[in-house]
Amino acid sequence: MTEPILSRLRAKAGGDATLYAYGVLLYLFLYAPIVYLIIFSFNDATATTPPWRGFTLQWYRQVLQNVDLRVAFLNSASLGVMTAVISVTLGTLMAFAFRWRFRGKGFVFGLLLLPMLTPGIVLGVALTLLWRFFRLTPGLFSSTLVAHVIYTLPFAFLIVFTRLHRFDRSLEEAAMDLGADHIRTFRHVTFPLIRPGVIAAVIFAFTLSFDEFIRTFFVIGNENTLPMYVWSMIMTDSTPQTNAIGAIIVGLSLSWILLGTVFLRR
Amino acid sequence: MNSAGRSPYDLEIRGLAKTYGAIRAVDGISLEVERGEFLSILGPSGCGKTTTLRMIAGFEQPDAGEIYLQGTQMGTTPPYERNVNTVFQSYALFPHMTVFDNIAFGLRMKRLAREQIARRVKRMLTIVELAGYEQRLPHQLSGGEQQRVGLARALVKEPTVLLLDEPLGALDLKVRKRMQYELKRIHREVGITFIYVTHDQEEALVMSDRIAVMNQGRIEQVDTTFDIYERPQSLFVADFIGESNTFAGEVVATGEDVSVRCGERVVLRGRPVSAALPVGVQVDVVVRPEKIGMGRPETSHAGEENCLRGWVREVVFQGTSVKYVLDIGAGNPLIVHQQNSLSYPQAEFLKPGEEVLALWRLESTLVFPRR
Ligand SMILES: Nc1ncnc2c1ncn2[C@@H]1O[C@H](COP(=O)(O)OP(=O)(O)OP(=O)(O)O)[C@@H](O)[C@H]1O
Ligand SMILES: [Mg+2]
Repeated sequence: MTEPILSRLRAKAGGDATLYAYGVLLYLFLYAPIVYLIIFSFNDATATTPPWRGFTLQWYRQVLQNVDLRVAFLNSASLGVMTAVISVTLGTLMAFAFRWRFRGKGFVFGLLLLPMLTPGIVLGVALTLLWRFFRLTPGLFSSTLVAHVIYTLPFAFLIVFTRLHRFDRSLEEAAMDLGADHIRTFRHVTFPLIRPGVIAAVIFAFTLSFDEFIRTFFVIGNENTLPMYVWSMIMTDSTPQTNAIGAIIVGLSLSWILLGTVFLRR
Repeated sequence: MNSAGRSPYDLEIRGLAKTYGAIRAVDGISLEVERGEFLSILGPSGCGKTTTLRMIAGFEQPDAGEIYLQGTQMGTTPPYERNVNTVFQSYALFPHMTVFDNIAFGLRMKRLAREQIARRVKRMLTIVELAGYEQRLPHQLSGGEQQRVGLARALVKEPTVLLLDEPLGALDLKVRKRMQYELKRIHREVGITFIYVTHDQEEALVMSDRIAVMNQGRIEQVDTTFDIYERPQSLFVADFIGESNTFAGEVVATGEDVSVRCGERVVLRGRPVSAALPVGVQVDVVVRPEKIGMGRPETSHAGEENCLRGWVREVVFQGTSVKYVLDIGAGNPLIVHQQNSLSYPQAEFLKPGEEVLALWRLESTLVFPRR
């Protein structure tokens, strides 16, 4: 039934030049900025704009020698790891809580996912004010970590929840039936089966935190993360080194996301 | 009572009950199961079979009543401390473990020595005829093979009682018939008490020593397969097991046996199943289709207390038997099964429209008071 309709649609689309052009334009629109960025990271000139003056790797060499950049990168990486560990742990625990029936379950569920839709600027402002109210010093492993955990927690929760939701409870009953207490049932049956989901959640939480800008901008204080550093670099003296950093970030993020997808599919 | 092993029964249930909201899933059942017995719990969908098994396994806490395993009261003992194992309808094999690891799981939880585990798993694999399948994953097995792994996984722990919840429900007819036979063989081989839940009456008859027929959370009757079939204690049991003709009527004469008027000109004679039935009581009369004989209307028949004139309405050839649907003027038509013992070209079956006598004995006529 669907097969002939689909092939007819395909035939029609294939013959339709406007649709084809539309597709090309759309992909250009989506990817041209990134492609442009990557191409000019190899440009042998001090400007980040055309014309093209030849191929070089010097910007990448500079990137590797840039100490400030290295600090910012390490900050982002360790913040990402901390964020991922905390929000996946919390998210997993909450996903388990949702296996029980309780009053107001739907409401609590919605409340948990709300931060996904809250504008970053709202969280940024709110945390800044909160920190001021308690007279705390904003910083990487205080206010920024809190902001990142709040931001990534719903994603981590949702990924593990989905996995747990289609988990066959009779497997756990079978384990207990065969003599495994609750802890051993979790260790030998439940956790191994949700592990791909947990790993995917870790990867996604890390990536989200690694790339985060707006919330960080508000609460970072005197320290730096990689996106913050890149931003300030562009605003001050922009060289193709920025392009090189951008290209590296694109590469890293893409491979993380790809890896995460592999685990999500498992 | 709690000195383990001194009870003659592997399993005893006293007044077990479980309510879900307004639904009385199990409504006060009692049962004794002897060592090594194959007992089936049979009943229609939703009658509480699974709930009963889950309470025995310890997955569900009863609202009332007690469960004793070899004389030991179970109380709130968790599933992992009960010497009972379950074969799940959905198999519930661990998808991330090989066949070997699935079967070894229970023994590893007992922390047995590695060689001992290997030996027992191997023996179990031989019993369920899956030797050589050790390294397969569950999704690489057919339904029947998965079921056998599920069985091996539960049996390898040598439980006091093995619980099976419609273990063949998901298999197609042919595999199912073979597995019925296999299960019987395995039961004989291991000598463990089997509690087998099914809603297939034929399966229950074929496999069990005894059958407990359940209806709406209660046990209607527990008996040997023969007695369940031949001496059902209620209309429900008679109706649920095998095929039967049922006629509504009123007692018109009573004595050692009763006469029941069913419709204008039909009076059937039969045995009341329980207490004596006074004249005027509303009853249901049941007779099984294969207990009925047929004769030519002109001949006389002695010895058959029930003899009715009827007309053939329908003839259905079923291979090993022939099913006749007769009009006898008693409300429902009368269904008769006759063994197909004719050898071509000797004789012919009756034809629609022909007049016949339907004959059967007093003992084959069960009379149940209307509830
Ligand atoms: N967890 C539960 N919550 C609410 N009601 C339940 C629950 N489990 C069972 N019931 C209800 O209890 C009754 C008995 O259910 P049970 O599963 O024991 O039936 P069953 O005899 O096993 O039926 P089937 O042959 O369909 O498997 C049903 O009416 C069912 O809807
Ligand atoms: Mg059931």
